[in-house]
Amino acid sequence: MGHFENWVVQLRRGWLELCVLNALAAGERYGYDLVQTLAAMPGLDITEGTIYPLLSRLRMQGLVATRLEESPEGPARKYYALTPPGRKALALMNDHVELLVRQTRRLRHEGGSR
Amino acid sequence: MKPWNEAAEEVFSQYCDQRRANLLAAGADPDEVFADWRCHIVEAALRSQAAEVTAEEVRRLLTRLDAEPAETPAPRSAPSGASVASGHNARPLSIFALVALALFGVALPVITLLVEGLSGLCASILFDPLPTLAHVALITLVPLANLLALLALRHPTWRPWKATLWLNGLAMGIALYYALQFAVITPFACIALLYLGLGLLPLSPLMALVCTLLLRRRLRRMAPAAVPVWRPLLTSLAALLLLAAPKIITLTGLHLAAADNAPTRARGLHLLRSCGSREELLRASYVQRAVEFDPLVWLARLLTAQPPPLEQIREIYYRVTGQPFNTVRPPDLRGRRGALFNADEWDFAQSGEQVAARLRGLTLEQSRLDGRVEAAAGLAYLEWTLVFKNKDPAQREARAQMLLPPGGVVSRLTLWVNGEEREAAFSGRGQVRAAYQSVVQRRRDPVLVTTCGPDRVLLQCFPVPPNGGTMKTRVGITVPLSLLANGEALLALPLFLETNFGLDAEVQPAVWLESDGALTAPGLTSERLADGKFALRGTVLPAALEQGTGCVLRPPAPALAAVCRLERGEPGRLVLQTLRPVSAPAPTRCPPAPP
Repeated sequence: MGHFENWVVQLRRGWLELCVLNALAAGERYGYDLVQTLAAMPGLDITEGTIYPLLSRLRMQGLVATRLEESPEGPARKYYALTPPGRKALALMNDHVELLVRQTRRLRHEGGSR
Repeated sequence: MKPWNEAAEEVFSQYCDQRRANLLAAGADPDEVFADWRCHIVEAALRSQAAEVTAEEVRRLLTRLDAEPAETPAPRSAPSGASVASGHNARPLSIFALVALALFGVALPVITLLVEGLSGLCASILFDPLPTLAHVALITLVPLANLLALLALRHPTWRPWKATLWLNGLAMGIALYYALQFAVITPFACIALLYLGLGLLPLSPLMALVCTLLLRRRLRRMAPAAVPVWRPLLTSLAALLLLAAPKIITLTGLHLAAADNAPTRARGLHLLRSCGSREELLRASYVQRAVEFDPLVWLARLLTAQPPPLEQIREIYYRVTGQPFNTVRPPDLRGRRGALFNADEWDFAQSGEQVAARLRGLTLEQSRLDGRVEAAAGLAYLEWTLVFKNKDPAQREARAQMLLPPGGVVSRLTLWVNGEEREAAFSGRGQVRAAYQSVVQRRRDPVLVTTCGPDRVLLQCFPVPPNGGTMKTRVGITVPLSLLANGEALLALPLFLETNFGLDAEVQPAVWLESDGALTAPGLTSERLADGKFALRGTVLPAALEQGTGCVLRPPAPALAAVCRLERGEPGRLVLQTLRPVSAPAPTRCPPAPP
C-alpha cells in the first residue's frame, strides 16, 4: 500500500463517522438506504458492511437512536436518527472540520505566497 | 420474505463467528451488527430473482459487504475492558441458564397460576391474587413474555424484537407487583423451602421477576433497537393500579367519611356513593386484615392512615347504601372461588345483643306462619315456625331482629330439642339473657327472644348443628288488629329486619290463617271452609319475609267496632280503638292572623 492509500485509510476513520452523522442531520433514514448512499459516496471508498459496526457503536454511545418499523416484504426496517447528544457532537465536529479546512487552506495559501 | 436454506445459514453463521472478536474490539455490539448484516442481505436478496437465499447468494452478498470492522476506530469513551464485558453478556445462553430460566421464568409461574386458579389455595389462606379475569390475564403475560424472550435469544432470525422487549417490560412490572404482594411471606417460604422442601409457589413471583430482569439484560444486548423499560413498566403498573382503583377509592372514601369534620365526612360519603365499590365497602364491613398484602393499598394507607373501626364502617355502609350491611349476601372474604379453610371464621357476635354479620353457610330453610284471627275480639294469634340450616363445619347461632305487627307481643316460644317440643319460660330481660348465655357456654340448646325496640324482638337460637344440621323453633305472637275506616281490619304479618343468615334457595314461606271473616292478601288464596270459617293460604315470595305482607279482614256482621291492645309502658292499661261516624263541618279558610 502506497503512502496515499495509507493516508486515506487514516483519514477515513474519523471522516466516515462525520459522514454518517451528516447523512442523518436532515432526519431519520432507513439503514439499508443510508448504507447504500454512503457506500456509493465517491472518495470515501468504503464497503457496505463497514458501516453497520459504526452505526452499532454510535447507538451504544447514544449519538444515534434506532427504531423498527414492520415491513410487509422482509424483516422489520431499522431507522436511524440523531439524538440530541448526536446533534451536539455533529455541530462540534462540523465546526472543527471547518476550522481545519480553513487553517489548512490558510497554510497552503501562506505557503504558496512565500 | 425469501427463505434461507441451511447452507446459507451455515455460511452466514461462520462469517459472523469469524468477525465477532473484531467487532467487540471496535466497540460495536456483534449481535446487533449480525442482525443488521442479515437484514441487509435479506433486503439485497429481495431485489434479486432467486426463489430462495442460497449459500452462493450469501457468499456473493457478504463479499460485497466485505465488512472489516477493524477499520472502524475503537470508541474513545468505552475502554476495551467494557467492550469485552459487553461481549460476554451477549454470548449465547448456556444450557444450564436456558433450563433455569425456562423452569423458574416460565414453568413455575404457569404451575402457580394453575394451582391457584383451580384450588384457590392462597385466596383461602391469605388473600386473593386472582380477584378478576383481568388479573389472570396480566399474570399470564409473565411466563408468556419470558418464553418469547427465550425464543428470541435462541433464534438469531427473531423478528418481533420490539414486541418481545415490550412484553418483557410489562412482565417486569407485573412480577414486581406480585413479588411485593408476597414479600410478607417470602422469608417464611424461603425457610420452608430450605428445611422442608416446600414453599416454592409463594416464591414464584420473585423468581419470575429475577428471570425477567436477567432476560431483559440479554435482550438489550441482542435487540437491534432499544425500547425504554420505563414505558412498559409504567403501563403494567398503571393497569394494576386501575384494577385496584375501586379498593383504593373505597378506602380513601371510608377514611374521609369517618373524619371528625362534617364537610370532610360529606365529601367522603359523596366519594363512596359516586365512585366507591359497594363490594369493597361490604368486605370492609366484615373484616379488617391485620396485614395488608396489596402494595398499592400500602400506598393508599400511607395517605389515609388506618381505616376506621368496624362499627363505624358498618354505619358508613348504611349511610352510603341505605341498607344495613347484614341484609345483603356476605362477600366471599378470601376470594370468589371456593374457600378451603373458612371454618376458622369466628362469629364474634355470638350470644351478644347484635344481629351482626351474616354467616356463610347459615340459612333459613323453612318458614311457616299459622294463625287464627278472631274478628270479634279484634285479635290474631300467629305461630311462626322457622327451620335454620347450617352447612358450615362449625356450630352457629341464628340471630334475627323481627318486626312484629303494631302492638304485637311474643306470647309463646317453642324449641325442638331431639324432635321434642320444649316451651320457653318468660322472665325479665336481664335474667333470660344471663340464662341463655350460660346455656350457650355449655353448648346446650337454648332459644332466646328479647325485646329490642318498639314492636321489635331479637331472636337467638343456638346451636344450629354443623355440616347441614337443622334447628327448628316457633315464635307465638299475639297481635291486635288495626281498624280500617270502612269497617275492615288489617293484620300485618311479622317480618325480618336484620338476619345473620341468608334465605335458602329452596325456601317457600308458607302462610295458613283461619278466621271467622273473609281474609285477603296479595299472592295468597282466600277460601271458605266447610264449617263456615274462612282461610287464607299459600306461599309468599321469600322477599316478603323481609318486606312484609298485609292481610285485610272483612269481619262478619255486626261490623268490627273496636279493638284493644296493651298500652306500652303503662302496665295494666289498655288502649281501646273504636270507629264512630261523626259529621264534621266542611273546612274553611283560616282567618288571617292579626298583625
